Amino acid sequence: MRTTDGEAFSLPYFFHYPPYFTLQPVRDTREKQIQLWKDLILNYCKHYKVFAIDVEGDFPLFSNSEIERRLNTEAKRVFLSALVSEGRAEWLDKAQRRCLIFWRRVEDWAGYIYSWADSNALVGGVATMEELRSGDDVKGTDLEGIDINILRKAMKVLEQRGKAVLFRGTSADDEGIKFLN
Amino acid sequence: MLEAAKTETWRSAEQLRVKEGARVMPPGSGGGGGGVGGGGGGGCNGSEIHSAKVLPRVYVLIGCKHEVANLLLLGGTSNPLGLGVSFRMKKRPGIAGLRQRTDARNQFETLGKNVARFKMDQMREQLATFRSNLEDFARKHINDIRRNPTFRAQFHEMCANCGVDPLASNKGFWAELLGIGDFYYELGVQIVDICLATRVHNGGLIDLNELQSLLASKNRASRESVSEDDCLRAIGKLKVLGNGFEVLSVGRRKLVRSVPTELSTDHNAILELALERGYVTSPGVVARLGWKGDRVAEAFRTLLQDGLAMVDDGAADGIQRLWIPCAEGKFSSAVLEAGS
Repeated sequence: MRTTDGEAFSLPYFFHYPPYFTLQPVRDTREKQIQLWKDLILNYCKHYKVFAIDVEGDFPLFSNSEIERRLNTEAKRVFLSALVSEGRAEWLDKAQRRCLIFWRRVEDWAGYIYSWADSNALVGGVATMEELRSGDDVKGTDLEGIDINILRKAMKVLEQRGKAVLFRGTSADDEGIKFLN
Repeated sequence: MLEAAKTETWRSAEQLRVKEGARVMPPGSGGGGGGVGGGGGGGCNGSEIHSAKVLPRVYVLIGCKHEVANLLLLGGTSNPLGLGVSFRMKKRPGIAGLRQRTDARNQFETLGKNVARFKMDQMREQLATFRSNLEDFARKHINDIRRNPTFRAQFHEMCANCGVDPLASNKGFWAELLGIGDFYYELGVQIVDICLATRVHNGGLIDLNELQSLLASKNRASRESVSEDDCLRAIGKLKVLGNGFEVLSVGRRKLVRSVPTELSTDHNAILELALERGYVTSPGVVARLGWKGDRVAEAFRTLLQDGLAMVDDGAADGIQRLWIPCAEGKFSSAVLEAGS
């Protein structure tokens, strides 16, 4: 994976130490381990603009071929659930198969989107959800490719703040937003 | 008649020489002390030198006196050491003889005491001289002491030998002159910093070599290199803070413990094995140390509980590994960076 600027992500030391890929049995050690993984997941997702992780999928962060270790499903769920309990992630389904990652908090996304709209002279104007995710104006910004679920959450926050009005349609194409002053 | 006169002359000459005290030199006594005279002014008290037979003894005694007088000069005192000792201990009958023997004994005692006191004084003086020389030396080589770890270690050894501890107090001459106390206090603080910052990784045990290289990278800017001896000294000073810091010998390596956990000999044995590859397995320990499985399990349990070990179920052979993070020194600098 590469970012837009192509800079490689530098993995932390513990990623190269085998026992960190096994959920630790002793509570104190496990808490330290969870803290390290939480930070790593957020930093990694932020660097590569990852908005959601599939637990069953082949997420590159969850295995290290150099030391031949991979996280098992239980460990992945424990780390992601720890993020969820802090409001930095959210399960998309009850079975906990897919998880949204808020490497920017939802409230911060709302602020980010509004200032994006402001700098693109969209305040007072209308945009579709799809434009906010893949339009020409979002290329190279953090909004490019943003998960629709995260976008909707951020929009709701803007609406509550009185900074936007949502138009609900039948699909993402129909959905629109009007930014208010 | 002529013969008798000759003998008489010889005698008086000899007596004269004896009366001149230390000026009389026995053949082969080394010479040199020509100016010693006077010390034994009363030296001939009770001594009667009548014949040539007695003479060799006289010489010997005078020889001794000469040495003592030399010592006296060195010591800077002018006490003649009560050298009124009889030259001749010939037994004499009667009360006079008894008295003479008592006198002689007393005189020897006084002499003995004087010599002892003199030696003491001399030692003190030598030590004082040594100290002042040491101070001069320290002043002269202050830069070497500060910069060169080997030199510093040798200087410490020298100080220890003459009862000076430059680290004993942060006040006073040594601290002011060398600022060497500060050096070790600062080093101690840095060691505490590193131990605390890497504890998240190693559970409070760190290899001394590793600690040293971390210190070196921290101190790169100040140009001062830090030796193992410096580390040990600084850690020694940290003991004042309680039983938190200790240096353990595990096999050929030294580990610095910064948590108050007591490690048993079983733990030490496992640590030593783990230092080889970074981890141990239960079957491996059973095979190498010949322990029963229960004993291994108990040791593993406490190492895990103390945060000194981590389990790893991901090995290809399916055997659970117990990793000992302090054996993986290569991570420590990364841990430090991550923490800062």
